[in-house]
Amino acid sequence: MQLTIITDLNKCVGCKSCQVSCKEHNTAGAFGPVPDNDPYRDPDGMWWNRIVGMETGEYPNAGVLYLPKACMHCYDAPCVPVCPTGASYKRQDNGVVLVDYDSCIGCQLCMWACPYGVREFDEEHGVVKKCTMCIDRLEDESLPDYERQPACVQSCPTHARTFGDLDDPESKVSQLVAQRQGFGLLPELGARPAVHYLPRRPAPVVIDEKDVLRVMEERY
Amino acid sequence: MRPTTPLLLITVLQGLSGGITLAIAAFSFLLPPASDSILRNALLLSFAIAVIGGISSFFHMHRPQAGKYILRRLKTSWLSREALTTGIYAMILGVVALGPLVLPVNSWWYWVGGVLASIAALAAMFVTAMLYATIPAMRSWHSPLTVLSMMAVGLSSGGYAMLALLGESHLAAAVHRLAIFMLLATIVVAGVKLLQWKLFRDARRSLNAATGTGMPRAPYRIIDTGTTRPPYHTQTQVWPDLPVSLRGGLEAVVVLTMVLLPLGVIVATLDGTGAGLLTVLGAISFLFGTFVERWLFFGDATHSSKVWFVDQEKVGSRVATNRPSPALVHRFRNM
Amino acid sequence: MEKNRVRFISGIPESPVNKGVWCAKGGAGIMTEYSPARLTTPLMRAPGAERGSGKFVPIDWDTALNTVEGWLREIRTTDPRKLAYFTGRDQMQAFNGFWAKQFGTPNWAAHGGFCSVNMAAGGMYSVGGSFWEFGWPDLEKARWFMMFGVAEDHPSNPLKLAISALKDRGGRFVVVNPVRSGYGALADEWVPIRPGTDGALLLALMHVLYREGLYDKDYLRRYTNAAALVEVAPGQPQDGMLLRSETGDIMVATSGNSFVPFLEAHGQGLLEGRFEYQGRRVETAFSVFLRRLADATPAWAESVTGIAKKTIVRLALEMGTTAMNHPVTLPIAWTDFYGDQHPVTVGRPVAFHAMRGLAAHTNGFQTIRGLFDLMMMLGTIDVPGGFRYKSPYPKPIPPRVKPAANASDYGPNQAAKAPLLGYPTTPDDMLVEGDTPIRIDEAYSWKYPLAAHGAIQNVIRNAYSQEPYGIDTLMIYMANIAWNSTWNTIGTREMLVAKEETTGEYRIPHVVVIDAYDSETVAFADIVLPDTTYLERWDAASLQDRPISEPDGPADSIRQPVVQPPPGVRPAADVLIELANRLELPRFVENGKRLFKNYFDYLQYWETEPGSGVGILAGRRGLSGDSDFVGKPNGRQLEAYASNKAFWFYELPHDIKYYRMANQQYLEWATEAKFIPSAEPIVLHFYSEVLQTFKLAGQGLWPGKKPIQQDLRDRLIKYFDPLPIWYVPFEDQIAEASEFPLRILTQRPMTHYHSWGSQNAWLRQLLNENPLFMNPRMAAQLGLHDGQWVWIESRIGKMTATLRFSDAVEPGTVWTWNAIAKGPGSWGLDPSAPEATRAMLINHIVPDTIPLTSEDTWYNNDPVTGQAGWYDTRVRVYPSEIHEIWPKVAPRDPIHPTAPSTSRLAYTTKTPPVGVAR
Repeated sequence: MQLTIITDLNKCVGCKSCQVSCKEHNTAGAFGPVPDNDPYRDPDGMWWNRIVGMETGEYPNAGVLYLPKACMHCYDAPCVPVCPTGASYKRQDNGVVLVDYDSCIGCQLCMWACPYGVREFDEEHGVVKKCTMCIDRLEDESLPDYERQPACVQSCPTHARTFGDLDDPESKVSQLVAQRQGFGLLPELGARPAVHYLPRRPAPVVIDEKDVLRVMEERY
Repeated sequence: MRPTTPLLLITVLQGLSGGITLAIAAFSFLLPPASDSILRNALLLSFAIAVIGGISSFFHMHRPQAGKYILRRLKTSWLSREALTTGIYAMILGVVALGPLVLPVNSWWYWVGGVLASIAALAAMFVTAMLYATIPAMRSWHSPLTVLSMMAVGLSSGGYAMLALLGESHLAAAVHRLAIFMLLATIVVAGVKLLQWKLFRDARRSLNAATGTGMPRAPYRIIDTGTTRPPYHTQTQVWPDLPVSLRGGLEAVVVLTMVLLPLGVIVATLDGTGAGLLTVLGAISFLFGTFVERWLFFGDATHSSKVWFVDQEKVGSRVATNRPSPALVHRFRNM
Repeated sequence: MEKNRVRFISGIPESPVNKGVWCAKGGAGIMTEYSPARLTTPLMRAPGAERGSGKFVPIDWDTALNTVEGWLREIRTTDPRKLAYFTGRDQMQAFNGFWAKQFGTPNWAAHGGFCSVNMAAGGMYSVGGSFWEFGWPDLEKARWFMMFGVAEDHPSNPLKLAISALKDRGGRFVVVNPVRSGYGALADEWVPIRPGTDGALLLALMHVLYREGLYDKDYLRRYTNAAALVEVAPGQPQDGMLLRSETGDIMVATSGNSFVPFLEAHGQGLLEGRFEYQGRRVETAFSVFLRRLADATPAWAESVTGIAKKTIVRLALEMGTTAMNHPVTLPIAWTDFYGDQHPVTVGRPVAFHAMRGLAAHTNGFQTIRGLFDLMMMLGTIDVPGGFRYKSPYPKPIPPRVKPAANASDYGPNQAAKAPLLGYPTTPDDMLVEGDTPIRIDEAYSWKYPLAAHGAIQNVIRNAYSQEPYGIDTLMIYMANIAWNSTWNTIGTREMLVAKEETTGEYRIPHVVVIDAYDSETVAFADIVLPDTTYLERWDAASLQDRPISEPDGPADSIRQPVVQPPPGVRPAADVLIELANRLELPRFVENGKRLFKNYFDYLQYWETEPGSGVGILAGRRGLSGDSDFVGKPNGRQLEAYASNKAFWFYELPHDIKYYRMANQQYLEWATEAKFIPSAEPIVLHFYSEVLQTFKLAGQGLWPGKKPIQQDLRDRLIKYFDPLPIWYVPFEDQIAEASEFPLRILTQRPMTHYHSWGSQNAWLRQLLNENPLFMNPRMAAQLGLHDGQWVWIESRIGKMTATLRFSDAVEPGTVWTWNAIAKGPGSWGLDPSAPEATRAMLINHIVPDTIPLTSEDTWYNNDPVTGQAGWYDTRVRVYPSEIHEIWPKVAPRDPIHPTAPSTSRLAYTTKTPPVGVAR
């Protein structure tokens, strides 16, 4: 089993709901806190999920893209083998990559090894923290079903995020990835990320160019 | 990435100590014999440097209480291996350096220890360099050049230190031989560093948002980074792009202090006379250069996550045009 | 909640509005609750301290209430107009408006004049509803969706869900906006447009739709007054008025040259033609419009909007063919007001959405009229896949509520005679004596006749200059009028502290600020009354106010206290009720008996009229809590809501979900629900006779009230056109306009809510400084480079900013994020915070007045509704020698001096959420 989150970039409006709901849940959750430096001065806090905004192309053909970026829970997670103490590990049963704070020495090598820049260092606690796929929600049997998914998936106002098992070919995430040409980021670095993104799917102009030209010629 | 003092100290001092140890070994086995007392002092110096380096590594560990687990992942982690090899090196070196206080010098244990220390020094330097060279995400480091450069610089810094120690002692023959060796070593260092800087430059451009976001249409421009500036406190793998002038200036300093000045010293030393003060200056210059070189190694390193923090350098396409392909558009319309 | 601390804030899955999702602001509500800017006790300006300095002394509630009560009692017994009470966005108008009405002042409004009254009024005068809380694009069924400029911060989740639904079905999404961001990022096509020219685009689209025959003639004839006959009698009082039968019905011509009342024509009225009727020359409204439309060619629109005419033609063809050739048909039978049965419900799946992109211009009202007329042409009002009303809309056009029009209606010791805000239908409804406005904000005067939301932006300058009269007390409830909810900020702040030269007293003698947080405006108060947060009080989203209804049916909801407020804090509504009780305002106190102890009571027991059975909440009424819409007040209503997920939603039966303005069953049902006064047909106003009456007043032809001053009359003639027009925004009509070639805009970030985001430790990390975004092509022309410090200069002032290139903005426009900059010392932030040192506030250079014809002060407002035209601002941009933010605002004292010194915040529910001190 490999749990994953799929983000449909055709639907992400960059509202940062997922970025905040992640922090909201996790700061007081089992792997918290998710601290903030200088919160009311020049702030520089920790976020396990950050939204990148990107402009592409040139005016007037400029595109705008938002990309939620959290732990990719890679199949070949580069952060795991580099860890000298085994604090950084990948769960065999569900593929979630986690950090055991008790054995973390805070060397930050895993942060350098991660191609995606999604691990964050807590200077006060001296440990590296990161997205846990809200494992404390997934495994908390006291929660109602709709809460037993990552907070970022639950909160997403455009339902751009889907959670599931990528190793199960019948799962919704597998089917989305297969049908919509889902892709992982920076494939050239060989981490084989489990988290995938679905590309933009622009709806084309609904009338024929010929008709426009004809009408233009005849009347305008 | 953000350069930190402990990392600078560990890597530079480990190289220096290893270099000195190997230079001692060279004198003991290959080169014309030098004064035992000088070699013994050099060993002590090497050991002291290794200890300082080792201590500073504790400052890099933010939770030393978990340090007891550090050898758990020898199978996969170069850092685990580094802890082991550097630890073994320091132990052997300690025995060899401090042994003469209680044991007879020049007996078998001294020679065996020396050989082992040399091997351990090489191993430790290699493992440390591999730690950096085996991280694909650090685009600037992911290359054999990292190993070559770290070991060449480390050995050379030890060589220059040895030269300075010997230069004081007026052992002309040894100095001469070592100086010639250092001449070659310095040229190698210069060559490797130039190649490595080229690699650093290429690394800054080696990744772009096409694979980092799945958007094929360049150029890319960051709208915002999630926060209004990159999170340098919590994500130490990224660091602002060095200003071109700073990078160039520091590289010039490196060339000056690690290549030109030391070479001048060597040329002046080759006749083997009056080199005392000059060799000390040479060693200090090279060591200073090593710190600058190492600061650049960390501070100028490009991590793949930079794709999401910094605008991509605008490199115009030689073939792309703004016009849509009519044939392609036509095909989409008729789908 | 966990251990008395907020553990998690999330959406309610069953809620019809957010369906279980929540936005960044929602999730970060924890940090808003524990903000260092919280006001925790009543404050009084320190003796000897100047207004604006932020120097206060804490006082107890008795002192605070006694002081305010004293001022108010004096005002009420002498001249109630001397109280000006203005609120921000979220303060329930059904309570605050009622309070002000019972007090007797005409001077109350919320923030609408500065916000989007053009959108509200434009819709109300066209279709009896509008966008946002009044109506919504049906993106679950639309195939083609065009969105103009909208705020991205609210109500964002429903719109995000809707766009998601459109995307799921592969619908096409076109965004018309000078800037591409947020929702626009997802658009399949971005149509960059010059700001303030949307009206021209809309006219050109209609031009093409007409010429290509791609419009819904049947819809226009049946449900709109496009076929109604208009009298052609220049110089006569009936000119431009609709031809009416003796019984007052509007008339249409049918084939065979016969003339019948609209309702008898069953949609057979001719759309085009000129006729003679009993010796009177008449013409169909649509024909009048077509003559106008003839000049609105795509080529003309291209020259105005900057959009290629080919694009305009294509967009028109796209929307026209989608509407006409791909209807949505639902198997729902319904009956219209003609009594005609429709076996199925047919919809034109073309939807639109818009807000301030159209509204915040001085031509905004007419532009929005254009949008609604376009939707009528496409037959897409309240149909599947089109625009759909939200209950209690549609209302009669316009809704039948209007303020009392005479000065004597606002006398001492009495309640005002009618609700303070509403919809005038003729010039006789103007609140003027001669040409002099009755209201301090000049709403419903000849300058801004249809100011349905008041004009908060006019208040401070008028109170300062004592035109039309001076006031005694300015009471502000959570509106940041000294910073980001004003214009000419520096000037406005000076007016707030201006003193009489003779007496040395403040020109605005008393300022009372009610707020929960230490905003820039708080510093200007004489008395500060601290309010609760939304997690600490009972409150409601009411059908009487700004409902949360969905197109499928009415809904309302409550807020309930889950967190204990700080001991010195009281819910503002409780405080206002206490003041009302002390002042013995009618309907708060009857025969010496207090009707409401507090707001909890008010929410349950208040009725629109005593015994009307209609109150704040529509669900769970009646003594046993089992009646909806109408029923006796229920003392356990809030409790019932609280135990039912805090909301109430009534899904309309299918056959009354669509065509509601014309759906006979719906109209009858809505009458019973008391949404509308009677089941009379609501015929959409393609042609606005109401506007024509004002034009006639301008021409001196209206029999009742009319302006005397010539420039006021000219204004009515020019801008009160019964059919949509486009004209150049006022800012462009000024001679020096060409010296300021660029237009400056702001966009609301999705993560921030007005100025509130910056006090929130989490949200402010997402955005805390804002550059000026400029197209690189324009920058190249101006010789500017990325990252450079620049001057931005408008005709009233200049300011600095850093430049950031963006290809996602039209070259003639520059823009930045709204309300990120903060006054140093406010909002619990360190004065060195980026919001105070690296962020810019364009309000500084947005002109508040406009030099028009006469000596009068003319605000930079829409001439119809008084909406602030702050998107009209023109600027020039050039390199700055200063490399920091300018103008600098003097730092003020913070309320809690120690708060910003937190160096680390690690919020959990296990330990107190206080940070480690520096």
